[in-house]
Amino acid sequence: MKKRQTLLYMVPAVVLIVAFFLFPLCYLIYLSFFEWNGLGEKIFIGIDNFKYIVSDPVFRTALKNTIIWLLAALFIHIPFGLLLALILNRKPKGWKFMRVMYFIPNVISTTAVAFLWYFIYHVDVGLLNNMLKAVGLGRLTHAWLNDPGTALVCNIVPFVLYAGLTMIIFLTQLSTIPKELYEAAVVDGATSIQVDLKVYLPLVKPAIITNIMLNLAFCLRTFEYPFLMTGGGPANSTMNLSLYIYKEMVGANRYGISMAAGLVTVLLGMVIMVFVNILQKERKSHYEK
Amino acid sequence: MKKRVLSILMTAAMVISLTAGCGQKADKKETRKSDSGAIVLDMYHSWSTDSERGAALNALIEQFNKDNEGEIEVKVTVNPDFPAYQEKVKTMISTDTTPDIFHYNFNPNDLSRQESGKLMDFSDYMDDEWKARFGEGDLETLTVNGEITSIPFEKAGAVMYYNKDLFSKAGISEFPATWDEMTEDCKKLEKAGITPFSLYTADDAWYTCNLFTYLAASYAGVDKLNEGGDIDTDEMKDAAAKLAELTKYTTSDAIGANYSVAMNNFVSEKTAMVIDGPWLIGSLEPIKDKVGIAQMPSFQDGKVAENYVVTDAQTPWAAAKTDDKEKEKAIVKFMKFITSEDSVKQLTLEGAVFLSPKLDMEDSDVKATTGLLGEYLQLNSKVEQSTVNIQRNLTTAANSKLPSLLESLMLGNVTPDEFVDQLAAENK
Amino acid sequence: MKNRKTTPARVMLYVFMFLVLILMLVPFLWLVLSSFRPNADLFNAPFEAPKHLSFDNYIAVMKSHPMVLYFLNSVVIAALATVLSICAATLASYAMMHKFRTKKALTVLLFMCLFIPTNAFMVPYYVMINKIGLYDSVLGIALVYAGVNLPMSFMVIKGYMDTIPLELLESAKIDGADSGQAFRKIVLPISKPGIVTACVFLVINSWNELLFANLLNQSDSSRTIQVAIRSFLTTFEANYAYAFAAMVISILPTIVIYALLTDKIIGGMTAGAVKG
Repeated sequence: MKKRQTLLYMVPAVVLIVAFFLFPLCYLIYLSFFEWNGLGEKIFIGIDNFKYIVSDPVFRTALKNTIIWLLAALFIHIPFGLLLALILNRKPKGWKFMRVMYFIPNVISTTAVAFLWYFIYHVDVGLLNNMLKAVGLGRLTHAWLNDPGTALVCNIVPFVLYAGLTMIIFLTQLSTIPKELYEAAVVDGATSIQVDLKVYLPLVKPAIITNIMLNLAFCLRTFEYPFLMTGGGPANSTMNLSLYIYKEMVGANRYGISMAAGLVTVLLGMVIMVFVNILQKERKSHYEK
Repeated sequence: MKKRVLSILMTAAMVISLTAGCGQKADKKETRKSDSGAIVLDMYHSWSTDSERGAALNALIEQFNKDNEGEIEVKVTVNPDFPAYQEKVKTMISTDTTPDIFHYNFNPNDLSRQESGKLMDFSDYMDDEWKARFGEGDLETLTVNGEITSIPFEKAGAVMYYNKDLFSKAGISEFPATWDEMTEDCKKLEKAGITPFSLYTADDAWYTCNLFTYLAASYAGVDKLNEGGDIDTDEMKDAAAKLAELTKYTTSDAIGANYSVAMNNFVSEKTAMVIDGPWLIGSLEPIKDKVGIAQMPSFQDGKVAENYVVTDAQTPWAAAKTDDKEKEKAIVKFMKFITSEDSVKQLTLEGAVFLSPKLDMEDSDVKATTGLLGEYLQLNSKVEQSTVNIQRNLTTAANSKLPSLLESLMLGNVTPDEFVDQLAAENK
Repeated sequence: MKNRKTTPARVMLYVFMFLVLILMLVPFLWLVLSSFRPNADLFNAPFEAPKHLSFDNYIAVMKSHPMVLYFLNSVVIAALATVLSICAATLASYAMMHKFRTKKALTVLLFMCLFIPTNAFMVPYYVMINKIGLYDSVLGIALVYAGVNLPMSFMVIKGYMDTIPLELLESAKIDGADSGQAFRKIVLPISKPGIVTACVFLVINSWNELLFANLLNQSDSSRTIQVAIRSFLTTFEANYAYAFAAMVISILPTIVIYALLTDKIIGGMTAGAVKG
């Protein structure tokens, strides 16, 4: 194939990348040094925007909460998805049905899910409080989303629970593992849990990495849950970076500050990339042994 | 077979995309004409046609379109989510897609819209006759840098609606006249298992700010509030302390609730009081016999007149700047129509809107108005002093932080003094 | 499997499986049930079984909102974004099978883009889409989705093409096939599962997106179903029963499509990774 033809094939992708990643990135960096209300003149103010966000307690909360989201993905959501996959991988009766059912919430939009859970947590009409009352635990009823102590956890719960996609990715990887490995282990006298831990776990590493990548990217971007369920409140307790960027832009009309926060988010993305890269390298060196 | 289906689907998608692309709005700079050659005016507002005022406005627009058939056609886009609507208007101005006609909340500390240079100046069209239509000072307030870029329209007092049934259930026969009595009555209501206030803190936290402004006016006096200036004062701190005390008597979902939720709490008789504008009246239909409108309490220390009211921001009409004189004239024609005596009467009586353009109080229809709207009009006619809701004078940045600050105050995370200090700092 | 005995462990396993199922799906059942009840009932007797099913909420919602239009907008946006992004990604992946000077740099670039949180680009996208006159149009939103999802589609599809032995291409060349033919006859069929997986991801992502759809929308003509859901609470003045009905309407088509295509979606993805 001719060089020129090869490059021609690259054109659409390159155009999209330049338009939606490289140019916006440059524009983002540029704007973060300006004060701009979106309507008037842009005023160059050096690094004042960064100074502001560093000293802004709301931004620090947003950063902290975003990191909590990431940790929840790493240590609860992904292990939960893996657990489901390992269970279904044993092909108990009805596993195909379960697989289909567990995936349903993932085809429903995050917006609808967030909205639904807003109602589940609702003080009066909410499913949660009414269930508690029904089983005689009325004293545990709570204004879940209106209390800074519980709001963030309530925001994360639906994400953690709906691990269908994560599970499917594990399942696909598991299905590639040859049966003989399992049988050999059983012959060696391993119990099924031992098989899971010793045989399967090391072999699903690529799926773990894929899942880490997908889920961390999702958590870094997540906007719907805090936006719809709590609007970042109460008292900013559920604020995250996405919402902070949005509020500074659309609410406060401080585009510069918004973009400074955006730059921090991009940097956080790069940190995650390095992390995933290290995992991948480790995996490769593991293979080479 | 599969391939063919796929290729058909792909082609369909492409065709749809192309037609969607072609269906783009024409460049804003050019005047749009309808098929019949009429000038098209794109109007953007927030009054849902499901509401009384939206229906009343819609009826007027339809009438205008009928009167000017073949010449002017007003096309309406509605976004009933007011906080979101306001944000959208700003972004539209910033991107040169300013709607031909729109309304917005005027804020003397946020003149970004007026100073954008993208709004039409009505100065040349503002003759004495038209000028005489507006309330005193309203037009002056809206004149920025010698330009009249906004036409005074809505200017409604936020008043105290209370559920008489619930009050008598709690053994209260008369609405409290002082804030101290208010606290006592709140306790009584609570004892009777009734939540006193409907408040909310999401979006613009407007209910809560209404209460705050009434308290601030009671402590500082209306005149001092109207002078403006620094909000970091002792009176503000007192008002914040009282607010923190009174907000204990609200629903458990107040923190984080939005306007509709809090409003619904009052309509469904979960709460006994709400501070809202006249547009609430339409929603009160199911409980209208139980509801009364009361004069807000004060400290009765002479700081404020007995009949004082906190109004919402002026919500004027504005228009996009255009080089086309014909279009300008069309816009003016519409503005004159919508602020005319007949339109104002219709909007007030049918839409329960309270407007800046004058309403003839001696008009027999107006006099004959009964029910809550009648009560509202009466209360308004007695007003001696008025001030604008504090938040409508805050900078955009301070406004965006206000809800979370109020939440912190209500949760006890900040003291009233810290609340005022932080708000003042954001307002710089 | 030989050990199909009813051991306590197995019982536990089933109990756990059903518990998870209940936790996941009961909220949706509750939503559907509630959507058939009048608003007052939700407050007064939230846990009673509805005495009679009434479609009043649904009728009221359909009357007051152009739900079908919102729905079509969502479909068009998802379809456009998917076609654009997948085409670009497939072509690029194919190009990557050949050697050229900037190949390494481009691969690294695309990989890096995978980790750029595009929500940071709210302002740039907003300004850009406005400048090219696509504000408040389905095309503008679809373009953003196509761009934003490109790195992901590329990685998935490239993962597949990497498994195609280069010799296969070489032999095709010897047989006299030009690069276009090799692409259509050899590369496309083999990497089809990968393309399907990427399509599924893309459709789901575009269908679900709220942030940019909200930011770039003004009127009904480009409002997606997600943006519409967001305003339900406000527009229905806290009539929760209406909001529930509206949500069910918004969810239903996705569920139906999923039910019809379960094998394609889950099967496709499962088959997909077998190769990868």
